[in-house]
Amino acid sequence: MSTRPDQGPQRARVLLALDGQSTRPLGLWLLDSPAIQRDLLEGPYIARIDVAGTRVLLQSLGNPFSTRAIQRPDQVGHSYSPISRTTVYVDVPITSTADLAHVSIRIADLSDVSDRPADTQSVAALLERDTPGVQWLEPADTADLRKLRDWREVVD
Amino acid sequence: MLTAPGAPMMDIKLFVTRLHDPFADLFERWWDGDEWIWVDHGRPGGMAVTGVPGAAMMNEKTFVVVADGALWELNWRNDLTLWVWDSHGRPANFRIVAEPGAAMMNRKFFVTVEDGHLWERDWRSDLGRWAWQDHGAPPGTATMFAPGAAMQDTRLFVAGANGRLFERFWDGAQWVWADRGAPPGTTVLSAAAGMNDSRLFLCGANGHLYEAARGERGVLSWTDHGQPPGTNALGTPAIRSSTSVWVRGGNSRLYELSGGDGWVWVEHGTPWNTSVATAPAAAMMDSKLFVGTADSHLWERFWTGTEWKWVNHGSARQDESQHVVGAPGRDPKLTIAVLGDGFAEEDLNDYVKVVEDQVLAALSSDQLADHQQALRVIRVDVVSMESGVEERRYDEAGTTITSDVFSFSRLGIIPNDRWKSCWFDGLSYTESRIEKLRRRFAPDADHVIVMVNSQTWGGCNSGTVARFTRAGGWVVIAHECGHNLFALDDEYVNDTMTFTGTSTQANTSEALADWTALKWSGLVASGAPLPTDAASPPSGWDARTSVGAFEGAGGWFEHGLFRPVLECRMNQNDPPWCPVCTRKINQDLAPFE
Repeated sequence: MSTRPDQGPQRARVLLALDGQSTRPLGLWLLDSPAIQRDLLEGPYIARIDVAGTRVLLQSLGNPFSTRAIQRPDQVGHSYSPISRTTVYVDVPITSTADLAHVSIRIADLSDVSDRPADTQSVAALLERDTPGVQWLEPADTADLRKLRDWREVVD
Repeated sequence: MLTAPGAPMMDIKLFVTRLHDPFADLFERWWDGDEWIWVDHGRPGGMAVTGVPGAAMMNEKTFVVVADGALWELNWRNDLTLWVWDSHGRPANFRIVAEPGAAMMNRKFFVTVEDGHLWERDWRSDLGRWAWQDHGAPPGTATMFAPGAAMQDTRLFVAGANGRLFERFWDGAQWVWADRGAPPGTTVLSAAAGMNDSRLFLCGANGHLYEAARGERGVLSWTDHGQPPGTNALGTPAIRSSTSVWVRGGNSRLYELSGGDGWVWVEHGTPWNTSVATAPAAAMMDSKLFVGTADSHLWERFWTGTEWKWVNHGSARQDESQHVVGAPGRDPKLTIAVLGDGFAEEDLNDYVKVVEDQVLAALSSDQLADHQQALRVIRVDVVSMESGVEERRYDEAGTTITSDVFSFSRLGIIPNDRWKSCWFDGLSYTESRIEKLRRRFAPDADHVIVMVNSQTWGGCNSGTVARFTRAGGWVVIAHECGHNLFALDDEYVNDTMTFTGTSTQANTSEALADWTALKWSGLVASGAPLPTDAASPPSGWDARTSVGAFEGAGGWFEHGLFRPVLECRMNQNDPPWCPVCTRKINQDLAPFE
């Protein structure tokens, strides 16, 4: 993992509500520390963050549409339950709040991608191509962020 | 103990003084749009507040008296977006002996002082400052109790030490005193509470509640409403509406004098397992008012529209946070917020220990002990109103609730003892409250761990939030942290499925045509066959540290998925993480060090 030089000293954290199709921002605030680009993105849900048309971060969200129960006492094994709606965070690396004027957040579901890679470069390349099995949720962008009550506090 | 509540504002906040350590401070109880929360306003000038906060003005100021008898103002500064304290001192250096009251026009109010005089504190717009004005004492006596029942911004009432009620009013030219007598056959034994600028209520020394209506030339006509059933009326009455007057009974129960076609007494009893210890006050929205109780909690008596309910607001103790690993800073860290649910104030020491013994133990287990500088852990002391959480049980099919023991916890996490239901139910606000607290106390937290004050077995992971009861212990939390923080796969198998595809996780691998390409090949024990037979590993094999490729992993996959070791925290919970998991943990934490 590394911090990319173009990622800037700050990040805007965006709280998103997800259902099977849509991505809806719920909150936005600034953090005075850089975002970290992880080297491995285990997925299957991956957020791609673009600022001004350039990819600045890929973030693994795990599978936010599943809950995992701990084992039963003295028995191994999780139980999993699907959920239809969830919330996740993504970090938008920025050099200043002006960058927030050109943000795009896209979330891909790679569950159906066969032989899915985990290293960041390969995942990035996979998302650039029209890879079979990749399912994109509806994106969220600056126009959606502007609708947040937080926008004025963060940007204006 | 808490004082009676006071200074209600805009139907969304009130103030109360906590008289006992460790936080003998002025507290605000505030509706944040989602829940009531406590805010500790501390002690002005380092002096403890001694009485009920009073003289609320608009939504932005209230006044209190402190231990040295001085008056302080708590004042909302829009320019600073915070509350600040301003000192008003003592009138002519006399100690103030009762709470401020009889606020008028948002620019004046009154206090009574040790020599029995009534003083006015008045905002002098011509001078641009507050000024004191001595109104003297009622004729032939001294003031008792707080001033009250302000009417038409020109009159107020105070009890005299002689048991009579006095009116202080502006006659158009000057302030004058008028002796308004006493309830028939008794004396005044409380401050007066005003209603509709024309009536007032007070308690008599005989334990009766009296109403006094102003008539011609200010003469009062008295109505004796008698006593609450079986007890006497105590303290300053609270006016909820023009047909609803409330008092504390001498038996420490709450009573309402309810009007309409005729006045009748209604007993409201006591909150569960405690008794009413203060006068009722801070009526809001015609549907609720508040009392302090013997267990130092604030309780609300709330009309739902069909029935009255008691609502526990807990002890006056605000949520706080503390960095328990790492320190605040701008350097990026893997940041974890720990919250508690079902921990009341008296449980907070226990909560701290649970966090230490379970969460911090998990986060410092094995090689994580060497990575503490990569972590930032923020313990958020979320104070619940009651000890414990609601416990719910279902029938075997999981469709019918067989028992539901209610408890009012902040996050509404409900253990259900059902593995297939992720061990917990939640309430409509559970997720949003967790996120609200994360954002407020640990906005950079990548993960949240909620410790639930229950001995029922349970743990559930969803997104970046994991919740655990205290029953599982730190090894369960450590295993789950392996999943949640480092995306590690399970290394156990308890099913017979065959894996097809590619494992993206660092500690499991699909079958390979060329085992030299195994993702952990650099860690494989010298001479170990790949794949490795768990039934007959090479001699000298260490189950925990010798790395090979054993078939069976990912929970379900007996075939087609391989794990690196025989024993690992991602397999049996108790053993330490294996060398492959360790490498992944090291790799993930490196950017934070």
